[in-house]
Amino acid sequence: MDITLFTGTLVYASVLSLLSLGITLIYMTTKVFNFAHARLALVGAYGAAIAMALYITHAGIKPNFEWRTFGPLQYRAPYPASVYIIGFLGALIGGIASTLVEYYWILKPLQARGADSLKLMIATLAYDFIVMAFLMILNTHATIVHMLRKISLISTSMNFASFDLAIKTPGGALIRGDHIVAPALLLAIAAGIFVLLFKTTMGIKMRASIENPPLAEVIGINVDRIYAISWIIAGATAGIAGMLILLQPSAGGLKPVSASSPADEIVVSAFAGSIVGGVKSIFGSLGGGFLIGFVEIYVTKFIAIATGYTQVTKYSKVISMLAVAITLLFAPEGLAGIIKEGRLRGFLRRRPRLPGRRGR
Amino acid sequence: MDVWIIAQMMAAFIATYYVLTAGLNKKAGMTGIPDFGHAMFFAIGGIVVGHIAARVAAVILAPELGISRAEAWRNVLEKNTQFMPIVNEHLAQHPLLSISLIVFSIVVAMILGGLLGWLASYPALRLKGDYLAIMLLAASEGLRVFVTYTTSIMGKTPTVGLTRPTLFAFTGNPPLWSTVFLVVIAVLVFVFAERFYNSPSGRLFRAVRDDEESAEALGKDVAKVRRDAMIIGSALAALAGAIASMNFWMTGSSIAPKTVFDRVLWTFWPWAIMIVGGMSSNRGTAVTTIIIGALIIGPIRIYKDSITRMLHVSALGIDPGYFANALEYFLIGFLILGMLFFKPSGIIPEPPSWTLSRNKIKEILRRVTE
Repeated sequence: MDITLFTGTLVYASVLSLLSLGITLIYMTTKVFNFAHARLALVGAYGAAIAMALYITHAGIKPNFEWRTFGPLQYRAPYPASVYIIGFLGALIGGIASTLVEYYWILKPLQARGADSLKLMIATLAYDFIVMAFLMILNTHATIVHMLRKISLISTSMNFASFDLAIKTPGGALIRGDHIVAPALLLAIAAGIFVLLFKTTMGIKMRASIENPPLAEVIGINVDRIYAISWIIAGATAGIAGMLILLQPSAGGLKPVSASSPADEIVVSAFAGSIVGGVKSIFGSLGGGFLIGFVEIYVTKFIAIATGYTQVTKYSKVISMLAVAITLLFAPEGLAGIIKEGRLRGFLRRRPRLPGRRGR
Repeated sequence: MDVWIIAQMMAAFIATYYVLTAGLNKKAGMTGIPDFGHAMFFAIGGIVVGHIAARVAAVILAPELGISRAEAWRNVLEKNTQFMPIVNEHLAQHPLLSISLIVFSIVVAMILGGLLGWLASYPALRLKGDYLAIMLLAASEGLRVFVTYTTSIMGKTPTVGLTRPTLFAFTGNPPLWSTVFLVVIAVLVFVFAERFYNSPSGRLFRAVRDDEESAEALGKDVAKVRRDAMIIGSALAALAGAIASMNFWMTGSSIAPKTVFDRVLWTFWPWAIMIVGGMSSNRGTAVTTIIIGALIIGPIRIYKDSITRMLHVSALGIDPGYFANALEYFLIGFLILGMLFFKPSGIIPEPPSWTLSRNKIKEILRRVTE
């Protein structure tokens, strides 16, 4: 098996997973499908790039592309850790700021004016265009182009793949830093959300406000603040996804960052992840995004090998479309619904179903 | 640029977008089906003209070109850029063939568009609201990927596509006459839409949108109404795709999968026009298309360079070319948001139904008052 393909797919799946999580969180709280979500990841990517460029030029850091040895491994880390941390913060700020603008300046006032869900959805689309136009101007702005050119080769699109940590194993395989960081980050975020939702009072408030907003308000929970926190989490994860896209050498279906790509291509896959996972389940969306990422790349690869027709890999997006269609038509609650209803569990364990034990 | 040419470009743009938005209006405005995959029906029209009509023309003209019919059939795809100009030269000598091909491609496009709409109505009967929107968006994207990478449909390069058969070559001035044809079709569609709006089925569409249960209680088949709306709306979109693909100002000299499936141009612009004009309001749509057509074609596509020069954006360090491209996106975004915030019902809100003609209503009024 090709290890580079596997690790590349891992990053792609993690990016989709993070985006699906954001889409699901926003749908659960605000009841709107956020069409701008993939674009917000690009804002995060630009935030990260600009923050890193500013830091590197002001601190006068010189990259070091030498291979160093660590035990049996050889590795190359071009920049000190602080650069990546600054970039990470930039991505978080970009993602969170752009989501909060969307929530407070567009969706909330529209909801207050009594717009229905269709109108809200169109409003997110309009916001998507505005952000895209803004990024178009930003990424060709002379000052920014000048600043980014100092640290990386960019034209109208940018790719910071050379920034990434690289590890050479004794076997000669090359592993990139984001191949390890992306799934680790995803696991950490999943664990963090689990703790937040199920082990803290904030989580109880959050679940209550999602389940029944009027009742939660009666009990004295500040539903508005809870929703704002969900939007912040969605924005932060979008920003992190943007940072991952930025550091990825265009493998696994992710193109270099510009105003339009890769958001235009991955937004459908991210929605597919959200829907396949079950749009009413946070952990379902994480799993759904991951599944879609792997299915898109591996199923087409498998078909290509089986039939000898290599062009099949280009059709990977058709698979996410089929996944959406099948899920919506036959299992509208998605993976989460299948697992929750015990269909899968019952099938796997063959436990006799007692009356009253169903559907907890 | 010549004023006459600008007028033609505006007319072509307005007519195409009017027909396209009228189709969306039947689905989204009147019946409440949030179709975010409108571009795929438009693309059907483009494919019919670019592929099917070209092949039919080549096969019919094959004896005249001195090659076998099978070779002509193959050449349309394989030697597209060299072969199609020859076919176009010969098409100019055959007015009757050209006219029948125009009619043929419109009929085929509408039938195929209606069929695809009928297929797409399968989820439309089972899903509601947001889910349906995602489903149709994903379907459109899936079809786009399929057509883009299947080289036997629209050629090897997705950004270039197939050279268009010039079906209006016999008139001597194809851009002008195809634009006239576009405007005639748009006027016909306007008359149809006006009459349809007040017709029993138009009222039924809106009844289903407003209250599904009460329509059902009155014995109406909601599923059938939705299916009909999808078929009519999609056929209109395919019609728009076909007539736009025959026009030089709308497509240039080739039909590319990348442009006919463009979500922004053929899905979101019609949505913007529909929202600005007023959902399900036919006259609102017509007025808005004229305003937006004048705005887009005039200041944004033709005079964008002079505008960016006037605004001195390069002094701020902004790249004028990209700024000009971004202007269109800013316009669509802020137009939609502004309308949603300040006038959600549109510039001409949905009018009441005139179930009888105005003269008859006046006559009845006179009779009652006398």
